[in-house]
Amino acid sequence: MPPPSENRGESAQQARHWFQQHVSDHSGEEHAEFPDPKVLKAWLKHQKKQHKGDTPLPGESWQWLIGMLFWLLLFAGLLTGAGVTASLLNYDGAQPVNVAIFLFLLVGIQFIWSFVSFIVIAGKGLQWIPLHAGFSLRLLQGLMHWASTRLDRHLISKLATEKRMVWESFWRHLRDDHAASGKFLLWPILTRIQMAGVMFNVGVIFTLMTSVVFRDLAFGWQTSMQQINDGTVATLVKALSLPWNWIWGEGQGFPSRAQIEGSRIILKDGIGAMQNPYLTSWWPFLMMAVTVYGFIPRVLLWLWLSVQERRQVALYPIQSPSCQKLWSRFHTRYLHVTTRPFDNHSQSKDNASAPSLLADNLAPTAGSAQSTVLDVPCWFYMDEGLGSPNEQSEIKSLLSPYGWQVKGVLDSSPSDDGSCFERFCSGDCLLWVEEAWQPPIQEKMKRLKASHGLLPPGVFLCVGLAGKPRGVSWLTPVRSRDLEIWQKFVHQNLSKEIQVRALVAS
Amino acid sequence: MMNASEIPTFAVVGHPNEGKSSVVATLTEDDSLRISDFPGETTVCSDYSVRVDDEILIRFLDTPGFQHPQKTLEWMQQHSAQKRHPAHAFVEAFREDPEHHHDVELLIPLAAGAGIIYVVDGSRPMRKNDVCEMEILRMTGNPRMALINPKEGDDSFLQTWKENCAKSFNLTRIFNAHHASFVERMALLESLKRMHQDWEPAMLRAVGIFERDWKKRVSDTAQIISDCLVEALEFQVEMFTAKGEDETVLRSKLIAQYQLEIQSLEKRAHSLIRGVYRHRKFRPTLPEQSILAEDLWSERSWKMLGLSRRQVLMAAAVLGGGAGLKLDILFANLSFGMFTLSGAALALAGTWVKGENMARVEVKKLRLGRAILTLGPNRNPQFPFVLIDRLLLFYQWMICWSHARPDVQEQIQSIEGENKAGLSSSWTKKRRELIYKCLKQIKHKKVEAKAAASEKLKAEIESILCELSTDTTAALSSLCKEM
Repeated sequence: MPPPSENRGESAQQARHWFQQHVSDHSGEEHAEFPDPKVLKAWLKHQKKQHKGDTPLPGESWQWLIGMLFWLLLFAGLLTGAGVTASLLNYDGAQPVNVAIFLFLLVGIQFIWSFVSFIVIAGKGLQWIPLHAGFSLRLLQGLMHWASTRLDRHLISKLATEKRMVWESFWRHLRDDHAASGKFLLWPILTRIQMAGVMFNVGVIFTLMTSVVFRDLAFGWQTSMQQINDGTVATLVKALSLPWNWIWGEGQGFPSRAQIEGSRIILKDGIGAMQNPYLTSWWPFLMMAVTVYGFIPRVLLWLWLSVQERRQVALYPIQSPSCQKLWSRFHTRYLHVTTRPFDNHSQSKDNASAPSLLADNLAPTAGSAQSTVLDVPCWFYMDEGLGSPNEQSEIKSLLSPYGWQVKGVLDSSPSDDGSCFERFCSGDCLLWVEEAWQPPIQEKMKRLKASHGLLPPGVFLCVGLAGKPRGVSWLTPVRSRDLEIWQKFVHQNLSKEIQVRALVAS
Repeated sequence: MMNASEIPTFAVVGHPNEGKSSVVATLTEDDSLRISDFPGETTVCSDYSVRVDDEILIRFLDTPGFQHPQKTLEWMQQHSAQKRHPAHAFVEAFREDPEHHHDVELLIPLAAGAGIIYVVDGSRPMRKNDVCEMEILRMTGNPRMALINPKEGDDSFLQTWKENCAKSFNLTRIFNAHHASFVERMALLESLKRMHQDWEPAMLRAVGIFERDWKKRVSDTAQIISDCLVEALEFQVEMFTAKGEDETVLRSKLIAQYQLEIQSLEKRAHSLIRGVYRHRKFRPTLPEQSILAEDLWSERSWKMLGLSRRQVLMAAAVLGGGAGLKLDILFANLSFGMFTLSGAALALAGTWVKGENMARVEVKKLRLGRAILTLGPNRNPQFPFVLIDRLLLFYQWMICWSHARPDVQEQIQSIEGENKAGLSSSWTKKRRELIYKCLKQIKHKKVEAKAAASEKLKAEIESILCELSTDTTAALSSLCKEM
């Protein structure tokens, strides 16, 4: 069991520990190139179990948000449908409800909308249309861009560097996450929007039904065009009722020609000239039209999107950077650094082997000082300008009292980093020594980033920090603030996978 | 290329986190500069101009640190065959490259011909990046000075720095931005004029203006302290009592109010002095151990500050004797110095008996059982000396407070022990007596006499302030050496 983790290395340590306990056989583990989805799922399950009741996990928060959106859209759809229908069915005995307006607003528009939605969603699903194409998404993106530019110009750029770096790192991660997982957020939203459409139709049907049962309603049609007569309307109605007229025929599922003729509104004659049975003959047709052209397409779209949502999640690319990162954590030995009281005897014993380097004893008096311990062998690389010792044996003897097991010393320059790293084996550590008191300038960070990218799989990078030289010794304790600065720079600008440790604890 | 004949312009450049902004803040006395121990705080080149009225005397440009010293040098060496200024060529080539934003911002003023003040932390070893930076600056050919800013006081690397800087710079100075006094700042400005011959008249003029400005500040501070003393010495509070009210309670209320009002006077003086020395943004925090952190009325303040009892008695005796001497002269010295002796004896006795008393509460009965309680003015001879000591300590602290460091400075304030540790107790006898006399005359009823005494007091305080600023400078002058 590893000891309690330190700050940022906690997740890496947990992942490694879990993998060792549940998956790996502790020895000779092979580093597969692609992550195993089963292992990843098991890890996620373990994490969920582990953090149950703690701070909500990102997935839980997302589920909660999407759940809230679902209920919100559900009620909004239901209320809108009911409200619009109730206002359209407003009848006070003076003038019947206009069937054409009812059909256009609650059936025609809906049907066109459903059809367009189907085309767009199918296009996005089958990748005919770019995923983020569409007016509303473009508008949203434009707004987001505008807001982030303003935020950056007026707020973030004025922050102190330390805080600004945190923000920049946060935005970078957000952008990366969006690029990797953005589409997985899109489908659940689309599904919930369709659910709102379904509920809109439920609202329409429910209101129409209750109005028919509990209220005195009258439906009619009117036109000023001579070309449109009872026959034209009857033909249109018959055509529209094709999907259900084989169940409910003329006079039941749709109005007959006589009923259509009897429900024609001629304003100068008034409603008194019209017969009541004709005026009420329209409601089954309207009900069926809403059901067939509004409700059913929406339900179908909703079902299709639900299937699509599941399919997309199942297709989550396990080669994505975050999965690869997790996979790499499983297979990367965790650099475990502990502190222990400094052993004056071993120090003096080693002094004998490297007298020139340890002449000005860097370590404080026995008992009070602490040293760091590395439990894996490492390759040692020290940047030029440190007055670095050239002999491997000297470096080994210099670091061994502190528990660092030096496997080899690299003599590298930016141009030949790659060829130097080829000697590494899986599980090796590259100990990259820097002076903590020197600010981590961009030139250093770029070199470090490039080297990290060139490292063979399974090799991990640790930035070992040395303090300010005292006399001829460069291996001195590091100030905690310097360590903090380096950790922030490396973790926020490069990668949290790179460990930053003091070679000698203060 | 060079605009040397115009306003002297100096770009303060260097490695990140070397204290460039601190140097600019100290030289321009601008505490609004963002200073942090986190590297990369300065991201753009900012102009901090020193102005007199609307005329710019000197421009200091605070720049970001070098982010790619090795690559920049490499690029400049590869393009050295070009006839253009290397900084200008680099800026032209990388202006649109966001990765080189800091380096471009740093080199823009150099491309425009600004003088270079290269700031290095002398308490750390020299590295390859530093060599590259020095070489870059040497290649620009601009007038340049190295400013060794020993941030942590460690001088073990100083010699290496001095030797290496001497190879690439016209001048090298040690200048601690966090401890630099006025004289050190002036010395640095003086040396800047030697960077370029054309800048000499402008720099001389600037130094002259700075010195006049400093004298004015001293004079303004003397006026503030003098006004505060006059006000405090004349100050009195009144309180009306109704019939049947407990007079003892009212007396203690009156004393509390009096003390509070005097403290407010002192605070107001502090605030004004702070404004004179341009500490606008950060309110200096008093160290916990400081005597200034103590209440004005605390026992410790009165024990540590002001004059000793003997000094007070002596001053009173001299003053009493002086009054008697006037009578002796009036009687053509037929009194054989009796008046002088009597005056001195009476003043001595009076101060001996009543010297420990503070202000007295006087009760004046009014009609309908009401009364008016009056407290003050304070007659205690120690009171003005305690107050003056506190104000002088505050002044001394203000002039040492760096504009580059909004934290506690450890000088001056660690007054401990049993003996008097204020400034007044160490004054010469002549000065003590003069101030004692002025303070006595301030209480005079005649307006002319009072005004004359105030004027004398201000003049004497001004000379004390001048001495203090020089003493403080002398104590810190070891930090300001020219090589």
